[in-house]
Amino acid sequence: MTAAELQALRARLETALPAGAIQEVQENGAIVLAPDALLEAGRALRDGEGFDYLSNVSGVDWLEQGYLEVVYHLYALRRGVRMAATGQADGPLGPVVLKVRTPRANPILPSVTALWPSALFQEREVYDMFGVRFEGHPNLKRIYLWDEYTDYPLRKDYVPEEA
Amino acid sequence: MTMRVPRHDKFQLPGLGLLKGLSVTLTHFFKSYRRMRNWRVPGKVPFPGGSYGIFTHQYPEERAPIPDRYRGLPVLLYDDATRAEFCTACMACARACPVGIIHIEQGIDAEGKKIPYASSYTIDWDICINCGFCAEACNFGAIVLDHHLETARYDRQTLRPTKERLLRPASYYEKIAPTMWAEIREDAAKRLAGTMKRRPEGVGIVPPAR
Amino acid sequence: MTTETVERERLPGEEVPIEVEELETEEITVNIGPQHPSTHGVFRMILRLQGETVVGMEPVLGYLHRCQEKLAEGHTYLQSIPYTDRLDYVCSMTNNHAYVLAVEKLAGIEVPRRAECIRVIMDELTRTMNHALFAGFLLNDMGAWLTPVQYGLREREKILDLFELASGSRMMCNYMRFGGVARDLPDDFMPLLNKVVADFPAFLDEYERLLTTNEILMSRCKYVGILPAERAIACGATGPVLRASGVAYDIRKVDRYSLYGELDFDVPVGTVGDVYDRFLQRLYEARQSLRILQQVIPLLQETPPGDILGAAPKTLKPPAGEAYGRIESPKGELGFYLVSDGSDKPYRWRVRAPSFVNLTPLQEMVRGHKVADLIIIFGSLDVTMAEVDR
Repeated sequence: MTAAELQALRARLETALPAGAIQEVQENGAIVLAPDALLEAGRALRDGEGFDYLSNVSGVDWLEQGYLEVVYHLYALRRGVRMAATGQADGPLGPVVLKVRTPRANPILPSVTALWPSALFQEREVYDMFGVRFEGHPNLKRIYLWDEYTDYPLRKDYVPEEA
Repeated sequence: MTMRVPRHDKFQLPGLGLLKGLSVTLTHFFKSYRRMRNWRVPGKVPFPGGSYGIFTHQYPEERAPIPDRYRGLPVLLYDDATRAEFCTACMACARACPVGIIHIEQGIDAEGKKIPYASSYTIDWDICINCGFCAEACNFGAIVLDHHLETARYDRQTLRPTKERLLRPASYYEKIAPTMWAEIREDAAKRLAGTMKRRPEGVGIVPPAR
Repeated sequence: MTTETVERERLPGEEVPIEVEELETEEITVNIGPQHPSTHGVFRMILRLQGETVVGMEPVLGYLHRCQEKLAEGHTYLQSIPYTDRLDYVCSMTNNHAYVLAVEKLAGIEVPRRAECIRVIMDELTRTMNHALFAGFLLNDMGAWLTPVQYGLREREKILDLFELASGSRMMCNYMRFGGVARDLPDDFMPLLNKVVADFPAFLDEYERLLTTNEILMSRCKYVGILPAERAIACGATGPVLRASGVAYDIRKVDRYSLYGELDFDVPVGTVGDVYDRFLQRLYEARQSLRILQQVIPLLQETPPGDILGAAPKTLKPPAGEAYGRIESPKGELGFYLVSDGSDKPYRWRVRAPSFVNLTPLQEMVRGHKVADLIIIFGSLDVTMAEVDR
């Protein structure tokens, strides 16, 4: 996605969302959203802009900065199909990178499974590995580790148990 | 361009599909009587007669040839002429190993100065993932990958060889992997000359086999 | 904090009424345990059955979890390449390719043309081999035991021989490096490759003759496990699963990474999205892979031999930043999300595994079917659990 397309997309998003929803735009084009605005922005992107395919939900632990970040990569799939067929893209294809941050002490974020069910297992994985609780997720259980496990392995301050 | 995958929805005589499949297996049954012995033998055309036939290797009398680049377990090399080990204990292989199984101690001479010689070199063969990064990282042609296939042992200690069991003559490596040796031979010889100058007399020489 | 009520996508596994036979029985819970010949790895399913009909299915994952993402944070970027081999162990070359693509995006490394040709050759050989193997194992799940498996494996052996000649190892190839490939192709590679490319279409014809009009296969696979196109897109399915449902999304055509912008190939698309479509779609995709190989071999021969590695520093320290690199692996979209903090070890190393996300619609695909159908629906998704669990 070119910088110009991303700029235009961001401008359209800013008008669609309430003030303060977009906290920051990073140099690589990632849009940092306020957690409250995630669902609304997701809705605008999915229905208004055509980003109907959520490819990747990933957690990142920024220990020094004190927050856990969840990164979403969105692509416009139907538009990509049309582009492959005709050779011309009728809009941005992606990826749109959304980031939301939540404090490490009590990490809660809204779940996007209502918008993109592909987040179903991936959000469970972020919960399992980082401890971020997703409100609205239908089945937020640990996915890789056993249910009684209490620690969150992919956090930077995780200390493995002694063998 | 997209193409639609055909669904074979037209009416076909019941049993015809099964018969077609059985005809394939029956063809194989008859073709299997033509033995095909030239599979993977150096110098012969691969798969003559197509891919049908029996090609059972009577292992261990007949072995499939192993390509030069095959990645077995790591071994150390020494030069045939001077019987000097190529290894200078530069730790490049130990740093490159993703699983951290190479344990090296650098030798020191009488005054306590470090010399390009590994006084102790141990590899945990049982953990090795055969990635080949040690051989890629080595600038001295000292560590290469052997063509082990039968690596099972009864005793776990034999899978942690020390330097004495790891050393092989360079002529051995030339025999099993000529193209690989040809790539590193010149550099290894040149650097060995420099290494031997910096080693004290007699250090790093492999004693002759008993 | 509250979540707004938005118009909801129906989630996989939600209780939608399904038809059950008139004889109402007690609902029982059955475990298809982790070790099972048809689970393509270790995958556990907790089924709720009414008689033989599946009413609910809950997948339990994590039996093959090896915490690769945490391990990678302690290794340098180069040392993680053998770990990517072991993600989807059947297709190690494409895993390598996805990872080095992501790192090259992160660090801005150029790849010479010959290396790109070699990468495309390895990718397409992997795709061919994976689809031949998949067809065999789907038939194994259906009860044809190992006859079709051995047909697929026999052809796969030839491709594994090619990998062994080039990289030194049959499965865990560890062949791609940042900026190219590890070594140039040996001299005996090209004659063997030409022979494989020449002989493989005949093998695929034979495979189709053996299987596709077989009455048992057709009656077991047609209209079983239908995944409509909208649900496939919403659930994030990619690869042959998505294309069999009728959506022609192929990352090779959309992103045009490596040489795929110059190559001419078709994208096979299914109509109904049932198991039969997913089975046949992969065989047609294997044919297209052979077509790609026929185009790349002359391109490779035009390039000067030896120019296989671009300029990459010995110890790679990418500038602080992030990159998401994705390719079309035989299972779907394989992506690597890498975050760098400027040091030689990644800050975050995340694998977007296609099999993991392709499992999402499984719950809704199997409801209403029998247990035997469940096995082949799961088999038709072509999942490798090593990738799911990482």
